[in-house]
This record gives sequence, structure tokens and C-alpha cells, in this order.
Amino acid sequence: MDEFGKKQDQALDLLFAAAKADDPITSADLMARIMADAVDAQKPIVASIAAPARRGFAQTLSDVFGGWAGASTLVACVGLGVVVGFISPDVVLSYLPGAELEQSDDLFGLYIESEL
Amino acid sequence: MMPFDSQSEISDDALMVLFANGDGDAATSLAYRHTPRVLALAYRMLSDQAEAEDVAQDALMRLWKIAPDWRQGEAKVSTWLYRVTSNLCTDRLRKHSGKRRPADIDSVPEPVDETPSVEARLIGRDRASALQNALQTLPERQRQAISLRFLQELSNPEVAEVMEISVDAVESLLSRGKRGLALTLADNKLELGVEF
Repeated sequence: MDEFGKKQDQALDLLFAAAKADDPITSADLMARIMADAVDAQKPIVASIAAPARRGFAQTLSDVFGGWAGASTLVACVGLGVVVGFISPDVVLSYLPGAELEQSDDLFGLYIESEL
Repeated sequence: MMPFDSQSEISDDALMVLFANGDGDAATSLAYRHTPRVLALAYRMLSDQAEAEDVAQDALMRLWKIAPDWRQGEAKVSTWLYRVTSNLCTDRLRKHSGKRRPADIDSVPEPVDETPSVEARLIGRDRASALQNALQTLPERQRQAISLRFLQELSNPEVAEVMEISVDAVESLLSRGKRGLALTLADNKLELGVEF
């Protein structure tokens, strides 16, 4: 930097220092306005924390079974079990000690009588 | 909620999370930490105390609104606020373009410093006023760069981040800005007690 540049910077440094010492004062009124805005902006946040959204019975039930995916799997398994029970009752009854199978005509062409 | 004093060491990012979780004291800490800087930048840009206060309030309002979506570590709160403040000032300057006038002595706020003598205080005030007036003669981007670098004391890379330009471009703006200030102020060098 040449002599002129140095002088210029020194002079400006003096003026910048004076300007920094003369920064505008943050008034109490401005702070009050800013804090009022903050309170307004926080109202919905505070409200949502204080009162979480109510959950309906169906939603609660769904949650118990792990949501729609869990509930669907459960229904599918139950359905499969019923189908297997109708098609091959002997397989099912073989797992039940003391149960006997008799066949007779009924609505489905099958009659199952279990003696447990 | 924690008392204000206990939050003085908490990072801005953490205060933003606290605010988003409903902690009112976090707002107090953020406001006291950043409002003076935001106000000072707005005043340098607009040269009007009332307008600078409106901009500062607006900038902080935007901070409160973005708090729930604030992504920690991505941007510094101070840098974000400086950028918002600069943009708000630019909007106002464009809206008022042609109507602006250099700051008169009455609109300059009372000095804060406790200088030892009346004479020193008067000299300081004259210098501050002269600089403020000279700043208003600079093109807007030069004024913004000078204010951020020499009055808000940001580094060149930080100024570049706020202004969303390269560091080279910042250096160019600063160089031209300083030259412009020196030219404007040279006429008053005797009254100001400086030598260009």
C-alpha cells in the first residue's frame, strides 16, 4: 500500500471508530415491540405443547396393533388360519391332544366335532 | 424456563431450539444479543432511526417465525439476520429511491460513549455524522459492504456470505467504497481533524 493509501486508511479508521461509538441506542420501546412479537409467534407453539391433538378411538386401536400395516398383517394371518382350519381340519386338530374328528354332512360338506 | 442470565453462554442454535419449544427466555436472550447489531446495520444503511427500528423489528419477527424450521449448523443466526436486514433495507431504499436525503444532524442519535471531555465528545460526534453522511453518498452495495466490514466488524468471508457474493467482489466493493468515502470527506478534513 502506498503512502496515500495508508493515510486514507488511518483517517477512515478514526471515522469508523467514532461511528461505532455513536451506534444507535436500542430503545426500551423497540425491545418491548420485539418481545411482544416473540410472544405472539410463540403462542401457537405453546398451545400445541399444552394441548396435543386428541386421537380418536379408531386411531388409538390402530396404534395398538401397530398401525395399518400391523393390523393388515394380523387380519391376513387370522384369515389364513381360518381357511387352513376349514380345508384341513385334521392338521389343526393334530395339534390339539385328545381331540377326535368325525365327519358328517353339514352346510359345507364337513362336520367337525371336537372333544377336547 | 431458565433465567435470562443462565442463557448468556448458550449458543444461538440452542436458543433457537429452546424458542421453538416454547421457552420465552430464549427469545429474550436472542433479542438482547442481536437487536443492537441489526439496528446499527439498518441505521447505517437507512440513516433514519425510526426506519432502522422498524427494520430491526421486522428482521427479528422473521427470526421468530423461522425458529421451528431452523436447521442447526447450516447458517449462523447473526449472518442470517444481517442478510435479512440488508434485504429489508434494500427494499426500503428502492421504495424510497429519489426521496432519500443525507442524514441531518438531528436524526443522528445521541452518542453512547463517555468521552473524557466535551470537546472530544463533539469531535467524535462530528466525525460520526460526517461518516454517516458520506456513507449515504455511496452506491448501496458499497455502503452495505463498508458497514458490515468496518462498522459491524465482520470478516471479508462473512461479508461475502451475507451479501451472497465472492470474497473478491467484497474486496472490490470495499476498495471502491473507501475511495469514495475519502473523496467525499476530504473537503472536511480540517474540521474533522483527519488527513487524507
